[in-house]
Amino acid sequence: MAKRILLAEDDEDNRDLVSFVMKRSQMDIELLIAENGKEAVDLATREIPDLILMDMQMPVMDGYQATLAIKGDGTTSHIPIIAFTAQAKPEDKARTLQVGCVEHYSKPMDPEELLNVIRKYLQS
Amino acid sequence: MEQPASQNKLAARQCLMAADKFIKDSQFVEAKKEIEKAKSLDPTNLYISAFIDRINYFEKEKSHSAKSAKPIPAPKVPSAQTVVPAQKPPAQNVVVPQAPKQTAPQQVKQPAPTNVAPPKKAVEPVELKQPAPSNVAPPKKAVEPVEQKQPAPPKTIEPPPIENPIVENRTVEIETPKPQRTPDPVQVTPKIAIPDDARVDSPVVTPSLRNQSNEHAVTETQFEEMKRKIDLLTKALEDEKKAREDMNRQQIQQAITQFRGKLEKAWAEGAPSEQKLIEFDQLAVSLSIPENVVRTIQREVKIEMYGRAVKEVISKRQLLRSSSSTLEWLRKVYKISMEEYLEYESKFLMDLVADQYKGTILQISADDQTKKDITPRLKSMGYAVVTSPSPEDALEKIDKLNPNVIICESSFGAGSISGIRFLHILRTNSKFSYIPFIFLSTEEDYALLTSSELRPNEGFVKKPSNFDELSVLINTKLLWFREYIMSLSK
Repeated sequence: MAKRILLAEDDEDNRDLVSFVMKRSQMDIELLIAENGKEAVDLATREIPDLILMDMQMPVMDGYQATLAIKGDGTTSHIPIIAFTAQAKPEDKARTLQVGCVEHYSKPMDPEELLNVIRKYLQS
Repeated sequence: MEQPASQNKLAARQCLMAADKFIKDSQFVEAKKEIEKAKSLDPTNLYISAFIDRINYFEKEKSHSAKSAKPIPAPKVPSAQTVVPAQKPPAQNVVVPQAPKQTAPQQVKQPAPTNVAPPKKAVEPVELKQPAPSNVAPPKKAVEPVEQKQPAPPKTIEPPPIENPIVENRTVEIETPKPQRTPDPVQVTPKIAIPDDARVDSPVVTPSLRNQSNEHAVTETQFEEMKRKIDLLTKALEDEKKAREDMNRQQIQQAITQFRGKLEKAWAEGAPSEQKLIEFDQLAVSLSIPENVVRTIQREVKIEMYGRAVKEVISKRQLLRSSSSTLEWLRKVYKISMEEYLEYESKFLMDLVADQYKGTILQISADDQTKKDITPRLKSMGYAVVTSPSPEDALEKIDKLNPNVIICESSFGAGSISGIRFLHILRTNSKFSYIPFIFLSTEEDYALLTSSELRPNEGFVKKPSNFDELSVLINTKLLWFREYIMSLSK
């Protein structure tokens, strides 16, 4: 059965690139897309994905708020959320872990590296 | 002192006449000497070879007659260049009778004389083991034939000269006698004299030769007809073969196209599974595609799909931590060996160069289909594309974005300003008035835009737009813009 990953990302190019990598990952993955934090919360609640890749800088609702919302919902709290952000400072990393993210992955991305992180959490 | 050529020719003829006499007397050695003389005097004399042929022929006949008492066919004119035979061929079917009063019965060792006249009286049969020698005097009375296989004696004819020696030449060559063949009842007379000058220059042909010449002409006509039919058949066969080859080629081409299409689909997102590859091998077998062709197609598709992926990912390289690690990852995804990569490295590098960032395009469109058709292609050309659903939204973005090119629909739905109005707004702002601006024009606005006075940085293409036309227009406007900026700096 395909694993479902929710990607919350407002940048079209980043969405395309993650989608490009996922399609070629040779993993059985279904990618769900949300363009802002609010959409991400709605989709997570509705679809209950296996993993969430969350951009922290998004319009409408940012990644921090969305993560808090998802982690605060009993139906979605178990879903691992990987912070997927351009902010690479230690304090940014600490903040993402604080709101409930299991991993901080900083952009720009390395396909191999990103897939390794995804595999790690999908297996667990 | 050297003799004139005409004298040499005359002397050569005299030598040939002498040779002819010697031949008649079966003195072939002397005859050969005369021929050699003639040859040295006039090497161009066409009859020399004919005389040599005659001598060879008679010598052969002589030796053959000496070995076997069996009669052999009478020789015919051995060469085309022989005017007339100077000697009757050795008697073969007719045993020459001997006159009892003049000559005692004897064993004749030499061939029968070529110029022996028919006997007048019958004579007692004689035992004849060999034909009579050629120098035996002709009997005065007719004698009883000892043995006669061919009752009719050879006729003496005066063969008419032929006008074209080439015809005779060809005819006589065809008429070269075969030893086993029944002799022609009409034979050349042995009494024909040595050719004089006129005769030497006037070749003759017998009626049989003429008949055979006619037969030869008929045969040639038939041959030509057969050749024509064969040519027609050959052409028809070739046409059929070509048609079959074309059909086969088309079938194979269709099969290959089908196979390739499926393979490309399977390889689009990386190497297919082993099971899939086995299925493709089976498909190739069912389509009767040769294995080597299958391997070539698989390799080509793999490289092409990898190349496309490289292009796609490179257009987003600013989002990648490392292009090289991404390419390395893609090599694994597409199972591209290092050898294959190195083999096609230049192609991939060209892709990288071709996809260098060219600038930013602001695309203003509410039409999803237009965005779907154009945006990915602009990106693959190396442009960063920012889309905006309306002119109002674009006005908010443009200052921050500072695009190199603006592509805008000419019309938008109700509640939004038109693209033309948007252009007028930009023209009033010195910061944006020189940015290349391209309309995607509707049918209704096309006439208006055609009649409008657009500035050099402005242009339009009609929807549904031909991307190549749009691409050319973008490059043209960008070129103008760069030149304009350069002119300002001067």
